[in-house]
Amino acid sequence: MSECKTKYRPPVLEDTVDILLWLDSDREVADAERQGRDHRIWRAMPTRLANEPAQIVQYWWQYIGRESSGESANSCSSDTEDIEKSQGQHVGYLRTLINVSLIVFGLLSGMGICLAVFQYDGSHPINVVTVIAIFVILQVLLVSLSLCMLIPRRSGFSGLLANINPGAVLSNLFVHFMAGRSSTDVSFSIVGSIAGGHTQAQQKFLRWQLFSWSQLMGLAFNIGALAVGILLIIFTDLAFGWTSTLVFETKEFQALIRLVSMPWSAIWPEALPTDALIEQSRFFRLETDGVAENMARDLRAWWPFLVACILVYGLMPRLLLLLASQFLLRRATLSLLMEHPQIEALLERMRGAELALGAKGQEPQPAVMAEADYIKPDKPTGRVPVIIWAEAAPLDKWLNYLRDEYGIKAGVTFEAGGVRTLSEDRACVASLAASNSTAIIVVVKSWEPPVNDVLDFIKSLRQALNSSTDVLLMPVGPDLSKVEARALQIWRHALNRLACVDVYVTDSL
Amino acid sequence: MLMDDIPRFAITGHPNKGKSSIVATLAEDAKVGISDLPGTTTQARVYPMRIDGQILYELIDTPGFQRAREMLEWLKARETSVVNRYQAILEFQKQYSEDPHFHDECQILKPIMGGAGILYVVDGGRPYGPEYECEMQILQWTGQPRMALINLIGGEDYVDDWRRALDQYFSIVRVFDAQRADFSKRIDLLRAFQSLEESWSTSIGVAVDVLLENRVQRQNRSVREIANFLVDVMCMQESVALKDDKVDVATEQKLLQRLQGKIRRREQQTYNTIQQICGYAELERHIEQVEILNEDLFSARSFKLFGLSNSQLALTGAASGAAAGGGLDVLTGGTSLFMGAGLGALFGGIGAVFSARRIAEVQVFGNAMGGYEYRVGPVAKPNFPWVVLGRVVLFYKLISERNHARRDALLIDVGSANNFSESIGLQQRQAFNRIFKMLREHRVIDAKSMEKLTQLLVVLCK
Ligand SMILES: Nc1nc2c(ncn2[C@@H]2O[C@H](COP(=O)(O)OP(=O)(O)O)[C@@H](O)[C@H]2O)c(=O)[nH]1
Ligand SMILES: [Mg+2]
Repeated sequence: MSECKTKYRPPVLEDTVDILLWLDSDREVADAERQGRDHRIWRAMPTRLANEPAQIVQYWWQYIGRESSGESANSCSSDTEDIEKSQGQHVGYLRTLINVSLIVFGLLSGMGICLAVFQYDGSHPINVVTVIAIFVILQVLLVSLSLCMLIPRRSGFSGLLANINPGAVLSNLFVHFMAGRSSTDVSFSIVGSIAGGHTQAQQKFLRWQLFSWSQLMGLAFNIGALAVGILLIIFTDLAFGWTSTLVFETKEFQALIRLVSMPWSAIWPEALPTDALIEQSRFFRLETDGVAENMARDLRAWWPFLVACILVYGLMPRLLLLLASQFLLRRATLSLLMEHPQIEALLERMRGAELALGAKGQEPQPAVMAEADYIKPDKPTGRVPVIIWAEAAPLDKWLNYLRDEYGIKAGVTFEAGGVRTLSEDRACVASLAASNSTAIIVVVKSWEPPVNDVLDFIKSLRQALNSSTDVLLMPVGPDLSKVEARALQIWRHALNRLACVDVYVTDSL
Repeated sequence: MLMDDIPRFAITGHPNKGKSSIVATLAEDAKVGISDLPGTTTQARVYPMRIDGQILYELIDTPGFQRAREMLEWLKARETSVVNRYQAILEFQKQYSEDPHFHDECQILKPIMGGAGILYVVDGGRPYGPEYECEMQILQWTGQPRMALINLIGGEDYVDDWRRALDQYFSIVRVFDAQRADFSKRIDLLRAFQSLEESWSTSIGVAVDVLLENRVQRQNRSVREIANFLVDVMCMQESVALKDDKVDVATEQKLLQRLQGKIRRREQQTYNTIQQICGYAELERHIEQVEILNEDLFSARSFKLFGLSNSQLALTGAASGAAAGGGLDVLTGGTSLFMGAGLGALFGGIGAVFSARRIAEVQVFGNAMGGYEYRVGPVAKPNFPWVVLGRVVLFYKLISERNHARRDALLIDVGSANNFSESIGLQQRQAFNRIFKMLREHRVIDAKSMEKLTQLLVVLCK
């Protein structure tokens, strides 16, 4: 058996969606069949995988893929080029779409805000405090707030967080953006079920997905801002100054700037504004003195500091968080699949031995009993011969019963069937052949089914008798108790099939 | 005798004594033809017990004896000594194998002469009769290992009589109620098979172990299904988009119906799966549906933009909102850009709600970006999870103990789970309630609680 050696690759969202959808529709398949199929795959699997659940699932999924695409097991083209996109690919495509739009959005807003902040018409210098507010303080605030969302929902912030189910947010966003894309209806439901998920794995996945989107957007924002900022610095004249409604003393402001520049002051001393520069570029001073030509160049010296601010407080944390979140998102995707109840059930099926007890196929269904009209026999007159079949009733008791209940007098009596031999039965038939009585009563056990043994006898008896003699077959209950209606029906049914005329099955006369 | 040493058992007897029922029970095959019309089984049919394709034993259902007396007379005519009785049977087989007259007898003989052990089935609820003697003698003449099973179709009034008669022909005589035998009775019976013939013992022993293990597996799988079902159903919601914040009764009713339908479908799905796990491909069931009333539900109206509610937006729109959803950065960027106000929006703290409403009126590809949403669910009534749980546990118990010989429908009415919560211990009940509360309030379950729920269910399903 040639084995496809595809390398292990952790499941991505696309696989997860496809696998879960497939398993969902697989629920329609009979359990025994699923069990058999999955366990067969398990047995075909290299044993070294046995303790690697994720690899087991991948192996299983590839096997299913090969089987369903009708390929023989030895053709190893793992990537079947489906013309039709799978639901998982739709979801993946959607996610890429969201990624791209977030990047574009981030870049544009970063650029826009940077343009607004670095607006310089030559009259007023750009306020460094605004730049710090937006590119340092706000960024730090945003980053720390987005870190807040990593706090488990049910602790501390729960009051605030409880009315926001990240699952609902994502699924709603998805559904909203995808409305009208009818081809993805199915992936909707799966995305919805992931998004609206009630398990920890689902919520973890959502958390990391949102977190990483947040970081992606943040990173794009900072890149946009940085790019525009650098372009403005290179190609236009900028002058920076500072003022604040919080009324800083110059000394305090100098300390603040030193604090902000701490991360880079050692490696990039040019990006630390000198005390002199700070002193000079205070707004009111500029206003009273005016922005002198030669000073404008000095005021430009703020730029390395500002670039460093964006780099260190905006870009770097976002980059690091994005990388971390990608890693964690990948792990969450893995547990999204592996901790799914359907996967747990799958692994259990794969590991469980295939037990089959029943026969293959369906046994022909029991024939339905046709309701036949029942014709009541005439009450026999004169002396009636009686045959007791297989000790169905004690002879004397039965004769008394006939006399007391129906006023019928018995003629000759026989015992047949049971322990008697066939030749004894034949002798009984022979001696009745010449009988000219109106009827012959055969007593049988109602609780025993009409087997051929007794039916053969009835048939031969019927054939031997002349047509004016009726055969009255009387099933009796144990100790002459009442016959169950169903038993009577069954006997009648059997006699009908025998197709003998003038044989009546009755429990009363 | 066949060369392979697979234990085989031919289930034989008079017609209508429950042979097929016993096979259905042991083989967990609900498709075996069983009927009170004699002659339902017309052909010998093999039911192999396979583990991973390897056969551990085989049961062979056979038609009942039809002409035992005639057959025995034929055999007796050829018997010269006890030694050649077996030979006589072989001759009989040879002569009549194609003859419809002894069709059923030949069907019975075939597996037995092929080496199968004999399980002879009688009904302990009906009197013994001398006509059985022919059948027992024929079986005795085959010389194969024999066991008699007294089925209890019509009660057990005559069991002692039967025992006395059967003891003379069979090495083991046991009572086995085909339609009521539970799992442990089946295992007991299999163990008895072991003692029938030395060389079969190992195989049957393995089979018993496999069955026991399989039983546990099935239970675990069912419990998992039940746990997931409970979680799902307790978290279920339905919502509808509205143009304004008014809900009319018809809409309310429609949502209620939808939620109800969703819950029922999920319940049916679970029942189906459990039924499958328990080995019933098809089964007629009559299970009354649970009703949910309007007042059983949580319901909420909210304004939504991009599918985000007002409060979500408020939190996301302002800087503080970052804490809540993480969509924050996305939306601050977004709203400020939308409004073209740039910085103003960022600092001015313009309420996101205000801006959201304006944006909501923007149409994109004909879809309004925002609107109202009305949501019902999850079901708030504290009794709801108990009813659902009670029903599914009852269903599991009925079906896992149900015997595959039964052909009646499985019934669960609404009342059957009503006092379920009172029927279990206080501590357990509290543990369940804690989990229910968590689900109701947070619509999420953590791994530890899931584990706990599973444990509780295992105890409950025992
Ligand atoms: N009440 C009851 N009925 C039984 C039991 N076993 C078999 N039956 C019924 O007896 C009839 C004959 O059963 P079946 O298995 O077809 O007998 P077979 O002809 O020997 O194969 C059917 O109507 C069964 O429902 C039992 O244990 N209890
Ligand atoms: Mg049968």
